[in-house]
Amino acid sequence: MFERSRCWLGAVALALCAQVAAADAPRVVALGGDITETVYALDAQQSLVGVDSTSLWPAAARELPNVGYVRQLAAEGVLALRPNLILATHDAGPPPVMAQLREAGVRIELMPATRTPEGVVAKVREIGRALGREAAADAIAHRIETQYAELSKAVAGMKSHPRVLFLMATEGSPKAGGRETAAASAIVLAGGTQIADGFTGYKPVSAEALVALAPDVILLMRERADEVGGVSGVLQLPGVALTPAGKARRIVFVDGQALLGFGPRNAEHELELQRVFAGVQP
Amino acid sequence: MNSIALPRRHALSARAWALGGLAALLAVAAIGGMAVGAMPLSATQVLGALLRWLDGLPMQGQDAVVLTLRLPRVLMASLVGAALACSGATMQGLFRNPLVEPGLVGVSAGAALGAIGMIVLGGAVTAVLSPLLGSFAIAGAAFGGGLLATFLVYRFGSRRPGVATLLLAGVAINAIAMAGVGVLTYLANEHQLRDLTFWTLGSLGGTSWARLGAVAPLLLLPLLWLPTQARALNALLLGEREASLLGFEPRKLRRRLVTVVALATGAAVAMCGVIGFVGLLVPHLLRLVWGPDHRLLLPGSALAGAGLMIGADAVARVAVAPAELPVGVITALLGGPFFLWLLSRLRTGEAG
Repeated sequence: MFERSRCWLGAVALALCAQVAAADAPRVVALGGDITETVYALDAQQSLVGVDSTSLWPAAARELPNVGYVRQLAAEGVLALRPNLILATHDAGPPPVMAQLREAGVRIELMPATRTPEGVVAKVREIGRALGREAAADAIAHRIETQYAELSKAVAGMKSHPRVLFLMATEGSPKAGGRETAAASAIVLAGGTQIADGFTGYKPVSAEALVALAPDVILLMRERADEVGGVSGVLQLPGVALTPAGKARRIVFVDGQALLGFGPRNAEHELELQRVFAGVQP
Repeated sequence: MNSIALPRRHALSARAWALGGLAALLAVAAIGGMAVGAMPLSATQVLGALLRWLDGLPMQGQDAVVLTLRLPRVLMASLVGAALACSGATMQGLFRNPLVEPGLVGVSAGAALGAIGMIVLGGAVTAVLSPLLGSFAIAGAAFGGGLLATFLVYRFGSRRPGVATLLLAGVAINAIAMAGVGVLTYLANEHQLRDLTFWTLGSLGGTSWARLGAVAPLLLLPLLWLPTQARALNALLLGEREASLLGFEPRKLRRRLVTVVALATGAAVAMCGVIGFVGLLVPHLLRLVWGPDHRLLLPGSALAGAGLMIGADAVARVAVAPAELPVGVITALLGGPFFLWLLSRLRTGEAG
């Protein structure tokens, strides 16, 4: 018995040596669409060995091994990618799996949830630090800060703030983005008035409630534009045609990942949205 | 005393063969479960890790993957599978109805309500705890919810003799609990929605020695006790009057069995979410093959349930690696067609 286990020991030691040679290169698993975006923005994608299922942009990220939904990770699956750094959104989970990954000795950097310009900039810098790409992070942070400064100046100059509703067309009643959603933050940041404030999260709204909310602009995700049948499809949804937005055909499709992910592309998309809002005549 | 008319000696050896075969299947499943995973490990590495562990030697290389991830998970799968299947066999015997599953007395729906209530409303509770303890809080709420629902079903269902009232009370409590789940689903935010969807599909992900240790007694004790009730369940098959003539007390028996089944199922569901089909399929399958003798059915279901769960979990772990599928999807996906195939091979009148 002892002889045999010694033999195995040798085999394992050999296997280990082979691994150590490759262990110097950074091997990063990015968990969260905004984090993956940032890694690409920092031009550090060559160190990525895996992403989660919310990492949809850029398209190249979808070619990487996918560890599944960010809140339903599998410890062995992630470890099989032999990462030496996990960059994760703060609510990656489930907690027992995060504990297992930590116990396995993998360095885990948790990024706070951010829906503010300061938060986005801080996140870029923090990921830059974790990847050892501070210079690239600085450059991007400066660019984003300039864009946000431009945005806040433009918003301050708005005469009125149009009433904006974010909709997700689903089976049955469409769902509206209420308080504490990324959509609400994005709307306010771009100078709109977030009108669905009677509830939190994304909740179904009836046709009547939609009319009563009287939005000047209706936002939807561009990713799902085809599913809802474009602008004309949205106008067909019960109630939409009776709203100011419907009458003026102010149905706007936004890039959900870029805008609502609050990653490095948020600022430019907020600027774009602000220009739409500024064009609304009360 | 025995309800089985087979000659004793013949029955005994047939049973030994059947249980031996199932135990061998379980061993094969366990070896398979240890051998596969997202991490490509050779048999040598897996065996080496296990031997070093047994010899008390320090871990090296990828031993941690085998010893802290795979081993507790295979053990958890076998305990949970055994508990669910054995509970299912007990309930089918108790209700004399092959379509019954352990969830009928409300334990699964109650547990789901407890867990989802904690996920959605328990923010204040889970916020003061570390995330890891928070996951135990969810399990605790699920366990409590399952027991409470079962208690209510039993209180309302045992007012009249016979199992029909119990069955109906179970249907009603299940409906109420699922309505509660519906309300909570509406209240949940996007994250909680994803969490509770996964919870209702069941998963053995995140199984650690600590989680295994917390739940093992609640699964092991029922697994050891339930098979000792085989003769009573056999007698009950003849009818309640006949059972009491044979010296059993159906009322007392029912209370004990329901309690123990609720404990085992509640604990399993609390740790791993709702894993469907094992409790229904496994005992039914064995009954189709070997007949209704509970002396074979109860331990047999435990062995087969354990093997099936290890296999299903292994598929869940490797099918979409490095991600993972919910194991409840696998049990239904594997179990359903197999069950249909078996049914189609039977002549009319043989089922049940």
